[in-house]
Amino acid sequence: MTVVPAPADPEIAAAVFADHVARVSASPQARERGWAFTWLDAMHLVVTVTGTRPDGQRDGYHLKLGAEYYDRYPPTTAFVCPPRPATANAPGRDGWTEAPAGSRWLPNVPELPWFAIHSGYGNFADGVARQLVCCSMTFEYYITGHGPTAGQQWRQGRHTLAATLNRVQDALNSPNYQGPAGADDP
Amino acid sequence: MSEQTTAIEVIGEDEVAGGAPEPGDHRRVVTIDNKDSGDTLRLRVPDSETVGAVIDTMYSEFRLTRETDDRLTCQHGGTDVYQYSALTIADYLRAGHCPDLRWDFVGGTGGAGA
Repeated sequence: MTVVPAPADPEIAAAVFADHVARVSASPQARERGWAFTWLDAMHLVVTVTGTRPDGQRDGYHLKLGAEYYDRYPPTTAFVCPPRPATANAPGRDGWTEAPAGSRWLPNVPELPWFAIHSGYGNFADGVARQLVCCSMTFEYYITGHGPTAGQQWRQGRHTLAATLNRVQDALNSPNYQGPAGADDP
Repeated sequence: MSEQTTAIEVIGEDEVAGGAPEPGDHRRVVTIDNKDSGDTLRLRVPDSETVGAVIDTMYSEFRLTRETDDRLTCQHGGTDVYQYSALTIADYLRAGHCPDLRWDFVGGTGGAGA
């Protein structure tokens, strides 16, 4: 079983995370890709990204990034559903909740060799199946039994959360991107 | 009288006014997005300089050494840039490769197969 590393010192992780977020959010890359950054607290933020289907249709998604192990490891990463007030037709949603299987907020990007999204991946150390954004620029990749080569591994000092966002963006811009995983918005 | 600059220069975002040079200016701006860090590098390059020299400058400015998994591609079309290291920038453009000189740099990524 994969050992889960000890979390980073929260103060240091938050400071490094904030520095990198400031750098990336002000960058030409963020402007050109249309990333929008929403802080949740000192250790977490949500980045709104856009996927473009082969027919040109565009879909918005929200990616929650966390600094619990940053930046010795990549940010914790999950696609999330946005909060919303209750209506006559749908219950309210408090906070940003992990996007479940079949969700409108979970992208469908099949058959990329370097990237996958699993709605219920079962190989976490605690045995609980949960979402895995499967590439070597997410923390969860390292605690679910994957073995990247040296050249594929996250490296402190070389990578920032921009690496995570760019891999997600490249997947959402790829010809493999098929739109949301489903229509559910529970 | 104009003095021909021969060195590759790092320039700021506000100094970039399109890829085309002024008449008589034999320099081009190469823009490289580092998709691992989020940084963007802009280099003013004499068009007699080689693509390989630009690549060397890129690694130096990003403080990296080249690795086998690294990819450097033209942003529009995704053509590999490394293969043209021996060409001068003038010949690279004359051959129709990446006319806007905007490149993406990224290291390896492990996925489901790793």
